[in-house]
Amino acid sequence: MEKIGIGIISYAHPHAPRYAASIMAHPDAQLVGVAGGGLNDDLARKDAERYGVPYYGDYRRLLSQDRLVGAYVGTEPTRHLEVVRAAAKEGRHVLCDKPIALSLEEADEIIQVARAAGIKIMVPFNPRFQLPLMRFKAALDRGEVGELVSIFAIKYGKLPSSIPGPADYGWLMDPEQAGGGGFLDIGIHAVDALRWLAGSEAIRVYAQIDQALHPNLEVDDIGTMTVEFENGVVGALSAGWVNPASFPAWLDVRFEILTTEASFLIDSPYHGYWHYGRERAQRVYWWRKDVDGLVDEFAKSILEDREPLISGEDARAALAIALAAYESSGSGKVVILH
Amino acid sequence: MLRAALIGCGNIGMGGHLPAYANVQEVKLVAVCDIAEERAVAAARQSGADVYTDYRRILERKDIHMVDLCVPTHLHARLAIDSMEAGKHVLCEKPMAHTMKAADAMRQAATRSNVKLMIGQVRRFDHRYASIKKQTEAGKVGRLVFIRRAERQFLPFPPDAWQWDPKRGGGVILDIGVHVTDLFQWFFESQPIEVYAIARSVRRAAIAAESFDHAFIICKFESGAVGFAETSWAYPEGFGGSFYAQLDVIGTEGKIQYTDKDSNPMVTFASGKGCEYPRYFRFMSTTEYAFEEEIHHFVRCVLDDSEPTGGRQFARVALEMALAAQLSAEQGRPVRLPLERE
Repeated sequence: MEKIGIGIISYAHPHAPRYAASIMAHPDAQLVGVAGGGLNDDLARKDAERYGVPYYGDYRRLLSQDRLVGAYVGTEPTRHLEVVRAAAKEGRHVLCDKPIALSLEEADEIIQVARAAGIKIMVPFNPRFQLPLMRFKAALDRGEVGELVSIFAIKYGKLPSSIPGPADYGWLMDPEQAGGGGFLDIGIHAVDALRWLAGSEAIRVYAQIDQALHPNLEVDDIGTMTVEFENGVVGALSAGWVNPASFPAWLDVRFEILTTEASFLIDSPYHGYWHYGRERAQRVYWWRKDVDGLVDEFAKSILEDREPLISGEDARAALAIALAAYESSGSGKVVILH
Repeated sequence: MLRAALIGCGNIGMGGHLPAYANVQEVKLVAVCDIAEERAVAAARQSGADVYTDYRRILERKDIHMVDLCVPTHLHARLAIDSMEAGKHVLCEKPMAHTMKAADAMRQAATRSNVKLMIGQVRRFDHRYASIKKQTEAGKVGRLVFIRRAERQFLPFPPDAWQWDPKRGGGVILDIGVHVTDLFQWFFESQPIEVYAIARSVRRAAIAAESFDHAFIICKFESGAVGFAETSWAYPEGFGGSFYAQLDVIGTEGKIQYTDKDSNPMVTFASGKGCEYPRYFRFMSTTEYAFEEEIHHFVRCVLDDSEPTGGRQFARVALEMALAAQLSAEQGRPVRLPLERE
């Protein structure tokens, strides 16, 4: 069987290098090109060189390459629609990083464009492919642990400006380009996880989202949210750029789950070890199963010609909950979703 | 040497308070009381104190300086006020009362009778939380912005226990809620302005009693700080004390993370039993010495004529926040404080 050709469009998103590596390692996929044309082109060019694939200054040239079947899109979300339109024109599938868009209208348009062209659109929400959560979800679906009652999710990262290396991820802290701050950036993964685990649609959202930790930041850095789903499940989320520079890992991710018959306390969804250096200790996550799983799902959905596990509609629903949280934080009221 | 009476020989009276008296030098437990005589007798057997089934007989005794109330929440005000009017100093279990009206009547009685009234917000005497509080006071994490707190367990009481009854105990929002709301105000040192809560009835006993046994509570403070808590009695049977509490304190200069599991120094593995985290304290939620320190502090305040830490003014605010959470959970909207403006 011929491997399916996947490209990377833009290194604006900090996850792009990870996707390049994961595509390279996938048995059924092949990295066929890297496109820049925006932020961090140097990194994009270096990765193309490292993996021995062509680099394109214009992503449209990557999209028209014969071997390309689908592409990971790591542009700023304000450019998603433009890229999806171009991909649709060439009939290329899209793995579009989160958030799918900054408004529901634009999310709808992206979904519409993809549907009309018959291309697949998937959004990589990491928790869906984290083993502890997958195990829990499977047990829940098999009816082994009773009914889901609630999930308390913690999702803390560091300020994007402290990402080591020469790359510029400043757009993540620009309200115009990111649409929000730490709560949206890191929290939306957990928002999707809450909805996925609940297996139900959100009806009521309450939140308080603030810029409280980092001075001179134009966006929020910490948020508190509750969401109630149609089936009665309660989701609670604390998320943001909360970890101080000294924190021994980039991420602090926890899921604390109660069902009518069991509880699951997930300290971290990653597989790690400790590295004690001369000055400080580091928690090293040696296996990001989630990224491999996302790439695998994207490839399989193409090979098997089926809807990807995380659809454009799923990404829109997560965005709707996150936007409702910002609205609630602004008004101080509960926001009702339909 | 003060002479004390313990009124109420149930779970917290027998497990928390009674054994603590043996370790507090300045006080002697001379009387124990419970409406169930066998419980009072059991308490007397442990302590050597006199047995009562009617607390009013204790109030008649001139040689008793203080009473320690470990009775169901809805009885706090009546017993506390009767005791204070009889000239006794009162150490009363949390929550302070079941209504603001009852709590205010207690405060007024304390002022009128010129006696000490302290509510046993025992977390303030727990070394773990006192130590973290010291760190935050010393500015180790900068200005406090956010606290996440969880207090979770399997409540081991039968369906007819008062804790399940919304009228007598108030359910988990009142009974455990005052611990988290008090911790928030203790750490933030700011006035609460708004409370929002979502609650569920999960276990059969809670559903039957029409009370909540699982709740999420969000408290906003004047300083801009936010507290976010889960309180629950709905965790599965066997949910161990090593997992009871979670605390994340987030400030502008850092964060402090505490879980009971982190401070549990041993795991045992045995054939047939699998893997267990043994419990080191009788209660999942707090340590024995926290009760000792709480009682010791109150005794010192009586002897020195000083105002107790975490005294009635804090307990009142903690209660007000918990009652606001209850109202919020029932009505599905944020509730502004103070409650009397509602």
